[in-house]
Amino acid sequence: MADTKYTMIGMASAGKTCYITGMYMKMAVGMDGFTLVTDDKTRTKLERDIQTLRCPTGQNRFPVPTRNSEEATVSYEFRLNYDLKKIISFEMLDYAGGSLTDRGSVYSQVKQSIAESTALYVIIDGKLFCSDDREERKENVYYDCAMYITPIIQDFADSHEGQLPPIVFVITKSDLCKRYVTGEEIVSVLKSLFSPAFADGTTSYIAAVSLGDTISDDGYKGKFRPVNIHIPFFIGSYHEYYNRCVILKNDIEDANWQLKKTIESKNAAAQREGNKWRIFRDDGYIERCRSAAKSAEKGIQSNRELFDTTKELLIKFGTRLEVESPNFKCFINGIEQSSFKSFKL
Amino acid sequence: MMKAYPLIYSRTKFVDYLEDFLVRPENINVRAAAVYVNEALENVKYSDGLRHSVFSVGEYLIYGGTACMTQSIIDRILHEKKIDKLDFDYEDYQADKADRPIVFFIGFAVRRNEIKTESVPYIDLYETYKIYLRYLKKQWLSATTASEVLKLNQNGAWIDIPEVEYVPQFKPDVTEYDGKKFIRNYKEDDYQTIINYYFYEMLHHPEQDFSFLSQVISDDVTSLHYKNISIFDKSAEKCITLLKEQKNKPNIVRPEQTKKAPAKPIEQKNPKIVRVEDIEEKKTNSGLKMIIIVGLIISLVVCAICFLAAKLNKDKKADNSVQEAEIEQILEDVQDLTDELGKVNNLEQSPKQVILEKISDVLSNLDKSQQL
Repeated sequence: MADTKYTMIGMASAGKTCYITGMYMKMAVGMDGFTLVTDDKTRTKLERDIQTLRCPTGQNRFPVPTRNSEEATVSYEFRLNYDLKKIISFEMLDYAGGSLTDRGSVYSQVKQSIAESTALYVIIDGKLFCSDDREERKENVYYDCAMYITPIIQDFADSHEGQLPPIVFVITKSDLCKRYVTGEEIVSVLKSLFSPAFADGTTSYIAAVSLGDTISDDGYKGKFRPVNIHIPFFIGSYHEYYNRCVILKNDIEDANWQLKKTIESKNAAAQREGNKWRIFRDDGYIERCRSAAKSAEKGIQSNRELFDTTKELLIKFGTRLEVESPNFKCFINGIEQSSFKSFKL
Repeated sequence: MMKAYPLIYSRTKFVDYLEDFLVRPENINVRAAAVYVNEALENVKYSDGLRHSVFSVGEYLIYGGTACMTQSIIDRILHEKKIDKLDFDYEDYQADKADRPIVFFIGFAVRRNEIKTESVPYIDLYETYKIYLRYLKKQWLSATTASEVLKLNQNGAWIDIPEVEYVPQFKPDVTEYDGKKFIRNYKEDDYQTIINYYFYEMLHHPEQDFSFLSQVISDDVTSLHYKNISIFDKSAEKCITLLKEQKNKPNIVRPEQTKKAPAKPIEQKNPKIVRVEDIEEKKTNSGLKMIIIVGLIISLVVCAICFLAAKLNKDKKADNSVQEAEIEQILEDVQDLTDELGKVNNLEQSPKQVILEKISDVLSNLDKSQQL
């Protein structure tokens, strides 16, 4: 059972399967100490898909469309590690995007997954921006994506007391669309068509990714070299880890406050016991009180170390994202930030 | 000719796969059929892009089930017929709007009670693909698609497939393991005789499971519903050996599960915070001691109270007996006095003084007694 769930919301052929494959390829061997781990079966499948993607065989190199059936819907489970330490484990559902329009049994699975997610990834097919007509680009995103996905985001907010998890807009196939559209235009289109994700109280991101800058060359016979593909899931995991750190911090503060009280009460109890007549005094009790006070002191120290270790990892995590900041855009309350700033604990 | 209803699972150029099939007979159990179809399509890309299957769903026997990538079936047909190009329009139906290769399933659903005893259908890949395209083209460019449900016995709903007399040409050489039969003598070139065998057996032994799927990837074996399979990427023996190893393999002890591994807090699923409950200790022994002491004190106090009460009672009894004796004496004195008074009434005044003195003594004694 994973710690959390992330859900990709994307229409058919938006690139969900390729996104997962590329993400695993990029992270399997580690990036600055961060690695992605999965079970043998998933690894076998992803490794096979990665090797196929590497072969410059044209369109056949890409994974086949995911079938719209419960049997073909796959829940991948990954664990993000730093060195040998587990940071977080998460599930990601891969499904046929067509289910968002036919609203069959797969759609129910997707809705369930969305409702339980702590980060949402809106996967937008970069090909939708591949038009010389600015209006058409926007219309493509509207009719082939936003029209189906924005209500789902709104539904999430409605069923979660108006709150939204961090939402990452992933523009796939950026190698194709970068010739047609600028970053500013993408921001403008997304803010206008996915307005709930940019409302007050929201945190959202936009990242353009690709399986390779030249992969589409010569009829998809270019190099498979994923670009920025790790960033979206890094963002989601960072948010989730930060939330867990905040909970941990509060827990630790509470535990340490109680431990301090215990130290005081144990010392006072030992003092009182020591003041009794010899016949009534329990030396063992005094010893135990003092020992408990010492243990509590050690506990406080141990908790502080735990907090420091956690904080250290959070800082590393945040720093990594700050380094990547030029490659994605961050919005808080719908306002674009000049760069990503890691959160303070 | 045999009456057959196409069962087709495919996406179109613009629209994703339909959960309830692109084409199907009206009363087939869609869920049951989907299980077999999805398994046939799973990883078909990695098993030369084409598989054959036979299975039954309720009253239907599905003959000539073909799960394939479009490119693969075309290549096979061209190779088998030794031609360069098909003689019908097919080139525009190989990829979806995103240029992803189309993967599809087509099979022919035949009602069990409509099959002549010794007959089997006959249809090759060329005809199979042609029929698939005929149905696909109806919705290929549509913005939305719907399942085409074929009404039973309605003219035009079914297709006629040639039937041939069944001649046993294939005898499966199988190794059984974990409820599945691994076919050792499967040859792709002989697929027609093999699917005929399983179709025939399925027809005549409805109580047994003769479902068949070819070219299975060894990693996918354990999850299959098909009973009879041929393995694509390994020999049957090798596949079974691996499955046995996998089954008998002890759970791998991962570093995080070993006792020696440093259990740093952050590595744990829920970091262990030291809490007061981990520190608190009850004052059990001293408490008991206090209880005993307090008990003893209470017992002593109770004894003392009892002793004093007994003593007081005794003193009171003694006082009472003294008083009773005195009163008795007084009563005797009063009696004497009464007697004397009786005598006085009959005598002279002379002893009167004596009597009055006696009365005075008696009265003073009475006062003393009352005071006591």
